[in-house]
Amino acid sequence: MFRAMNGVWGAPIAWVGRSALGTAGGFGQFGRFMARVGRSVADTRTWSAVVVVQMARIGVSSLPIALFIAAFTGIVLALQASYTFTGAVPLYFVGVLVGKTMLLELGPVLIGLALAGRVGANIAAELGTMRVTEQIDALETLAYDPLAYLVVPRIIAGVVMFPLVVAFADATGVVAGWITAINLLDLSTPEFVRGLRLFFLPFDVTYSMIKAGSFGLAVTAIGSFYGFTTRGGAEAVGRSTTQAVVVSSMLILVLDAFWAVTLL
Amino acid sequence: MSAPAEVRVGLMVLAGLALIVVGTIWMQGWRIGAEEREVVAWFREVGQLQGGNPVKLRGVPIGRVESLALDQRSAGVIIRMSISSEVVLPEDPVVILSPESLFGDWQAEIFPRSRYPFYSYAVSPSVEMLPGYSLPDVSRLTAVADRIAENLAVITDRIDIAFTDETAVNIRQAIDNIQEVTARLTGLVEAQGRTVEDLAAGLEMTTATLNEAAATAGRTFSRIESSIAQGELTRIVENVERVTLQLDSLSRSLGTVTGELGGAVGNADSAFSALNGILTELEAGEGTLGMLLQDTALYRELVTTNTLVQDLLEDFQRNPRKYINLRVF
Repeated sequence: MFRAMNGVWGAPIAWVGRSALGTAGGFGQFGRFMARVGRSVADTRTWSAVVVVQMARIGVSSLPIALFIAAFTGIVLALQASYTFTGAVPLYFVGVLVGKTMLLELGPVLIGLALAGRVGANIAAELGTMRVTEQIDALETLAYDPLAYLVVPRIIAGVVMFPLVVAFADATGVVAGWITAINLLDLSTPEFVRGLRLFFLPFDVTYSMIKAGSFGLAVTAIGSFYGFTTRGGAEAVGRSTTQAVVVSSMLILVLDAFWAVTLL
Repeated sequence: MSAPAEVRVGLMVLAGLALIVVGTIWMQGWRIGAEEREVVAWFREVGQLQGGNPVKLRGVPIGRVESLALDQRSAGVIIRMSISSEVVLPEDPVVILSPESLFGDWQAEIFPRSRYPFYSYAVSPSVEMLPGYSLPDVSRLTAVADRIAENLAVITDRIDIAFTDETAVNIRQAIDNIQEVTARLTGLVEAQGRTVEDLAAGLEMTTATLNEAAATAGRTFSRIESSIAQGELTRIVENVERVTLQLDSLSRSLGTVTGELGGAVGNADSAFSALNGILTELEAGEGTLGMLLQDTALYRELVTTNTLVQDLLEDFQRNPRKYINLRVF
């Protein structure tokens, strides 16, 4: 039987086996990496000196692209809601849909995906390059904890700044939907605000912030992991960057479903 | 680490936190600085009410629902609401939960109990809690409609089983019969109505006559009674007795007159006999008068004489000098 398998099905089955082992090994590696990062958080003197720089790079620099995405998302949401509701549902429900969708789903997820490409790729490429150019090894030689110096500030910056960026994005999306509803739809400001407030709960904001924080953790941790574990030359850096973006994007969607199941 | 980076991050953090806080407050419709007070109401159930739903008085939003909690001591729900402290609640207030629209958004409205007195308000265990009542939501109405639809389906099935072509013909005939019977009954009722009307009119007339007779009898009886009381009847009887005596006397006088009249009749009879003898003689032409009556010559002589006298008088009138010749000297 094993002989037959080696003949026809051997290669695909071996590929599945290698993939499974590789995935399991990757989870194990990531677990060990995160455990080391957790230990490095205690080294506050090392990471506190650079965390603000990372916050500026991850948060402040990402704000324009986040607001751009959110504004057009709000516009499209208002128009599509109007198109869907016409003749069946009162138009003030445009406000409901724009507010709820931006807060609960599109704000965190779209910004998370956008920042996964921008921030996650940036972190993976930067750390991967430092790894292949042995800068990280040099830090270890100088008795610096490379995780405390390179990874912890990025993860903290991601966890702190992602919710803020998403908060601005949520507000921008709502305002864009509001302006669209007033100017392009037969909707007045009181009607839109009525819809906006109709089903609003303070928990909606909390939920949006929790998701954004978890996405920030996922993007920065995955980017740091792939960059930190890069082995080889420039090609490996590119591969790590790609993997970081893909995996963090997938993880964002998984977390999105996880929070929906657990919190809603 | 550059200073501009710290400033930019600090500004973003502060602005982001302010945006989250102020945005949440604004989205909830809170007015910063407005004074509010808490109103608690007690319900048996709360439908689809949620925290943050509006509280209205006469249709005007005056606050929001803060929290909903099961009352552990009794089978009810306690709702805490924040309303503007400037609002004066109506006398004997109650809280009614109702859908604000058909799309699942609910509201709590405060009314005086007299506005909807027929609702079965939940009696709150504490006097400080307003009694509440929750209107049925669309899902409950739909459930009732579903039950009605099921019952209708059962009835329809039974009708389908019972209602054959023959049944339809029978029902048609029954309807025709009912129409005919109805028409007959209508005619009968109309005829009976007319009879009853006539009877009533006769009865009315009889009653009037009886009333009149009764009145007359009453008057008569009262007069009789009055007469008896005043002695008039005795006087009448005495008068009758007197009249009777006078009639008796008159009768006797008439008897006497009758006797005298017999004598007069005898005298008249003898006078008529004598007259009869005279007339007989006249007819026989006896005596002067009889001869005058029986002989026509005298009559003719008299006529001739008369004619001659008339001629003489006419001539005298024409020629008076012939007969009269008057000379003085």
